[in-house]
Amino acid sequence: MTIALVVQRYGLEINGGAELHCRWVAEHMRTHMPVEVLTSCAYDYITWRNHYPEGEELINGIRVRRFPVSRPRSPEKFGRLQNRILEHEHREQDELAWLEEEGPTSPKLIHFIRKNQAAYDYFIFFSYRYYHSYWGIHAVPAKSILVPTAEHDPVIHLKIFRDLFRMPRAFVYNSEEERVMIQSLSRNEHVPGLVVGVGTEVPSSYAADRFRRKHGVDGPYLIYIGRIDQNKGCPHLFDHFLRFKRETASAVKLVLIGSTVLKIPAHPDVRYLGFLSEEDKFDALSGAELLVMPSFYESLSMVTLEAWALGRPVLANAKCEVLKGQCLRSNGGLYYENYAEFKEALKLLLSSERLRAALGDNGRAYYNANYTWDIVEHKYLKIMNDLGAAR
Amino acid sequence: MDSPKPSGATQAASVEIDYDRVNVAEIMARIQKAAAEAPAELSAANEPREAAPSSFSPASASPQTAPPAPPQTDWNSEPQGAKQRIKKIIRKLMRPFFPVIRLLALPIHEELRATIKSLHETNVRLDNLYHLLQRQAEEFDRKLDLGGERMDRGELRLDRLEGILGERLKDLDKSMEYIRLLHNLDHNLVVELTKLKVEADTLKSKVRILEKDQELTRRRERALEEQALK
Repeated sequence: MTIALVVQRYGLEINGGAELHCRWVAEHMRTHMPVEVLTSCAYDYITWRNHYPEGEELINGIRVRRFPVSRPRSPEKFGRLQNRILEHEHREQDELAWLEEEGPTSPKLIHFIRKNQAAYDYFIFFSYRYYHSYWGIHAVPAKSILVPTAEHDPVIHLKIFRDLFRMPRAFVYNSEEERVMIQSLSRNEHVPGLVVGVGTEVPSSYAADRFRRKHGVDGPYLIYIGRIDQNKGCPHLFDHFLRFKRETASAVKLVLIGSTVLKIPAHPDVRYLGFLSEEDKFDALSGAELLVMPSFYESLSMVTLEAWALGRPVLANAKCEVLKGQCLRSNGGLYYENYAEFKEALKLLLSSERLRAALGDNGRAYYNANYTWDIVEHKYLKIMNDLGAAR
Repeated sequence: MDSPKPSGATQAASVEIDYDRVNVAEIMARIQKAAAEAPAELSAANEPREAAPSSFSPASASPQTAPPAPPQTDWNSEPQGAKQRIKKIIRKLMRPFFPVIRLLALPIHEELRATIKSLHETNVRLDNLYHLLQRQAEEFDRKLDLGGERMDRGELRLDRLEGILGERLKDLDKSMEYIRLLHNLDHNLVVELTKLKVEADTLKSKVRILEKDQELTRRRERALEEQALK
């Protein structure tokens, strides 16, 4: 059995959620079967401008075939089209025009899939909203498996996607909430699907003291790991945290790790450390009282799984259904919808070490039961075997 | 799990937790309750000085103590003693001037009469307006009744539409079922066509092999003929 993973971008330098997810799946599935990756030459996800050379290359033992983007995206035109389809009555052609602009527009990639479909048993498409998934699934519906990585994004309501969700042979969902959302939108219950998600690589050793010494962090601290921007709910986190400090005079600090597009509040207890190595990240996470996850839109949240893998509890934004659902299913974290709940939940977590330990243990058990690579690989194999048996 | 769980139930930050079976939903319900109560506590904390009764506060005393009564003057009662006598003397002295005083008071009297007349007219207008208001209220009640009837009729229509919609939804479910079946059929057709294609290719290969065999046989036949005729 040979499979091809089709994704918008691919490379060791690319850390986007779906792209990293695809790379990890590719690298783990190659132990079971030949795996190839079909992708574009793009690196920049704003314009999809060609960056990598066209052709084949080997990345961590995976054969990667890159196809050029015929037309880079114009952000202005894309913005206009998106406003039109989201705010006005429109036709299906308008949605297709939007998809064309959404990109990465690579007709050569689609042509390759159509022409070489016999060489692969299955094509696993990552991210439903891009050109490669839409036209790729249309080219080989009988061999396609979709990993939608869908969030509560307005474009998911477009008609073209409702139809698309009824086409693949199977789905690989990231969470139960994602499955419910896609099924309620497209009524595609007849298409088989499994909630799989993605595993994570936890280093064999990590040391909180090493992190504290290296970065001069002392005392208890909360940690946020990820891109620091508006969509991730960081402004709310800053407001809530500073207000919590004012009202409770708590000694807790907030450590921020990741690239930022926002101004970080100037406060002695808010420590921004920028982008750190994986080793530093896990050291920092292991020493935190808890991980705080203020994001509004997540289809899985790998960093939440990493916190649970290390036995750390999570305080998540309940407005993100996936995070709330994960906390309830795992009993590994609390959540909040407003400042009052944030304050009560954080006070409770900081005041009870036993509660933090119990939540962390539950999170770790949940991670071990659902998100270790053995389990994830087994689920992918099961999907493909079931499809093979149904033929 | 690496670390052992502590056992037993304790109370942390006013939320009771069973550490043997931590249930996030239950904890969150209590946190949400505590969070909902927090603003009330906060406002109550800000208010006690205004709300709590205080024996030193003049504001608190005023509702319970009657305000001091204005000085009562009985204008009809007769003045007593020396005061009474002086008053009589003044009246006697002023009596010749009473017509002049009345004359001076005439414009005020006229003004008073005009005011009374104006007040009467205003009362009449108010009565008219009151009757008008009553008529309009009756009209409004009538229209309200009519509106109610229309609403009833609208509800009936909505019920009918709901019935029709239910039927349409059933049709839609049927259509979705057909689409699902067609989808399966498509898949099956693709599979069958693929199999047929493979079979056709195999048959073609077999035909080619047979043709080659036949050609070989022909050549052998010719060779044998040549050998036999030598």
